[in-house]
Amino acid sequence: MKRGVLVKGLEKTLRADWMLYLFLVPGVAYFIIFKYLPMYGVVIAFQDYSPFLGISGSEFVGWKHFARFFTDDEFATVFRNTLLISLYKLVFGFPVPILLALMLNEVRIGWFKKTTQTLLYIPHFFSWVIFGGIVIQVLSSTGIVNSVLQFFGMEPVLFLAQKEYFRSIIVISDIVKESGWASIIYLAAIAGVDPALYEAARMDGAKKRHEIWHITLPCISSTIMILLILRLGSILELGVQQVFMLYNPLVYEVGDIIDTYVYRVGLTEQKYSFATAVGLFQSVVGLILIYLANGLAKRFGKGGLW
Amino acid sequence: MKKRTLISILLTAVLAVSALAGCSSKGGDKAENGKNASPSSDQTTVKAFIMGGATFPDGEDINHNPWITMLREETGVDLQIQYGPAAADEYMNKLNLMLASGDIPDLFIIPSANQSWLMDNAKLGAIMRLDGKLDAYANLMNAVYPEAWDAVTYNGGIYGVPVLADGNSATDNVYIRKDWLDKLKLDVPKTLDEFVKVAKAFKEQDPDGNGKADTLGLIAYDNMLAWSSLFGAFGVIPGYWVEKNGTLVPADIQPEMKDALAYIHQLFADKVLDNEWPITKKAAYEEKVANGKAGLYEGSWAAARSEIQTSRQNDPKADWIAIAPPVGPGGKQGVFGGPKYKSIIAISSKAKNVDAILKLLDWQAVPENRDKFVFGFGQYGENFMYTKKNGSIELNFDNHNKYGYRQQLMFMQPKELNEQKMEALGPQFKLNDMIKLSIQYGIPNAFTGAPTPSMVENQSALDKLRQETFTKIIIGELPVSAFDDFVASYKAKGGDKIMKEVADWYAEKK
Repeated sequence: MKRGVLVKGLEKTLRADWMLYLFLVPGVAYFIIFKYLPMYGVVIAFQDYSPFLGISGSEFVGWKHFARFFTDDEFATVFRNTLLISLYKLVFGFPVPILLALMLNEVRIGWFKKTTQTLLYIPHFFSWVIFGGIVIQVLSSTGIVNSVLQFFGMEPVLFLAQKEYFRSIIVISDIVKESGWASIIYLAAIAGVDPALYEAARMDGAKKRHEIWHITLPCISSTIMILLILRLGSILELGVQQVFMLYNPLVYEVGDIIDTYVYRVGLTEQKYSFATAVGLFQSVVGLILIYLANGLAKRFGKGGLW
Repeated sequence: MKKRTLISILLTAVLAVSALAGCSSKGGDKAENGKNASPSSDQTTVKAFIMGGATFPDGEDINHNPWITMLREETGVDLQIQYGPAAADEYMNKLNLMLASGDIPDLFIIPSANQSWLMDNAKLGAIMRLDGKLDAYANLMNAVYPEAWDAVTYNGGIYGVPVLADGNSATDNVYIRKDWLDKLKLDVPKTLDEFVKVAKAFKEQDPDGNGKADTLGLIAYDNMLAWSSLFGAFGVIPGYWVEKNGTLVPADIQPEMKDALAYIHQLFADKVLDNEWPITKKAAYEEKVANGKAGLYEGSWAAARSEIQTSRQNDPKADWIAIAPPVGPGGKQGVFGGPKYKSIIAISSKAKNVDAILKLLDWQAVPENRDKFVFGFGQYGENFMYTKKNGSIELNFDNHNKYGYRQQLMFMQPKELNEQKMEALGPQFKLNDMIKLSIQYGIPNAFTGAPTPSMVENQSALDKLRQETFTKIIIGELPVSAFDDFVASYKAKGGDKIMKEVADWYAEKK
């Protein structure tokens, strides 16, 4: 009986909102076809996969590739570097788009706001090959930074060749490139805040900083939390491009990360199974972190993803 | 209002359909290929998969153009080409997909960097074994250097045809600015010490006469192979294998390498070597040549048509000449030697028409036939692709570039250098001389076989260790004595195993 009611209910909503469901179809199809179906491919992490033999024909080797990764001399270095760079990016990089969005939101001169936003978004559309080239140029011995140093009578510094600067360069260049783009989502969240709240606050004599602190930030806190949780999920995945573009043998010790390691060992040698195993490890760590962060967020009453 | 909802529904439907269509486009391709099949049925069809990237004049494509028609008529083989991605890694991915899905081309071309792929797939039985089948094709056999067969040999069987590059096995030359030498009243340097003296003068004595200390001595960049002449002066090339006491050993761990590093470190300490080199990429390196900052460097045999040409455009006085690499203290000299092949033609083990394929390749290995792909033929030949002027041939660059795809249809490359082509690209570049000079001083890699199992396992880590240690020794972050620790850990981290495997390979080969 209950089931009948359920089906009937479903039928009713389907009939009433069929158009909305139709809109849902391409999205659901996309995820099933391009995200869920390929998942069975992680099997090759446990095989000596060969494209010719295919998944069904390749030999099953269990944890071999994971064992190789964890016992590799370089594992400790790349794991530490990945974690550190990722944490620095999180600590220093995560708040920047929020600040940018808050500042942009307060700009009242239309053309100035538009120009600033465009300038902030542009770097996002450059690939790291180009943006990295700009970073190298800026920091080279004849680049702008060293020209300023020399103007003040200091010796030029080869920043990219110095271990102590490398991680900072990675973090800062990432902030410069991506913060503008990341601020869009916060701007959208801010735009959704009920203007009545601001009006009421102003009536009570609130200053701009009070408005930001007591209205804007609390109103977008759930957005911030969701983005933070999602960010934690990819903590071990920094992407190969940026570091690959900027690093050199002198900073391998501090700059070599899991992604560059996989690129070197896995892809140039065509060890698909090994690369998959490492990728799976990254995803599992990410998934655990998402669960933890979500649990914490819920405990502190900030919502969470689910 | 009503109208608008209708439109949005339609759009949604279109989106959904196009998402699904994306998955089935492969079937569409196949149908297209079937339609392309040549009408004459007595010819043998050969399906080839090659790297793409060329553009075509209106009405032509890789399967419909004068050259492939000529090829079909001359050889009687109906060549049907599937045109792949232009980037090597994407091409290999696509090839892997084709093999995995059973849609296997008869013939495909593997870049030399993917040699281990060939071995893996030979092991799996995906590649046709060719030994015994090749002997009847004399032109084909003549187009391959005997030692190049090592690279396609797996378990005693031959699994592909190695193909030479346009410039044979030429790699780099050492170039110097004659006008700077003349200005500073210096002779062309011969020994390593003379090279250093000239480099020092180029850096300090303002050879470009602009009154600023903005010129460089020796330049280098993060790839050590690209300034190999400094190592070659000690008889060792980073990453290469050398013969010693009747067996092969890695050059990376020889005492000569330590000497080379000590010498180069001194150059760095004396500021003769550009101190920015570890963070310099290839493009920035070539820019230093193009914009007149450097007057002595190692560059490709074809540099006269790239950065040197730019340098001449920027400064008409720039008079670049190619010279012999420096002679080191022990009398050694040279640049890294190139491989005796740039790609490998492989035939699928499922191909039913091996003889037709080999016949086609044999025909292409004849120098006169190759010329049809370089200089055109019939109406596409003289006064179209080239003009004769005072007995020499000059390529007509408009048509040469417009029909650039034609050289992709030429799978083979005869051993004889195509001097006429190099000359036709512009006699002022002296490309023939550049190629010969580079080949003359090339120090070949003594290991020419396919990667051994331990190489596949450990080589990338060893290469990284070498790159890191050598860089640090040169810039003085590590003392030269750190080389000995490097040798020890090189051996411990798989180097010993690799040496054993290479020694076995060498013993068997002899």
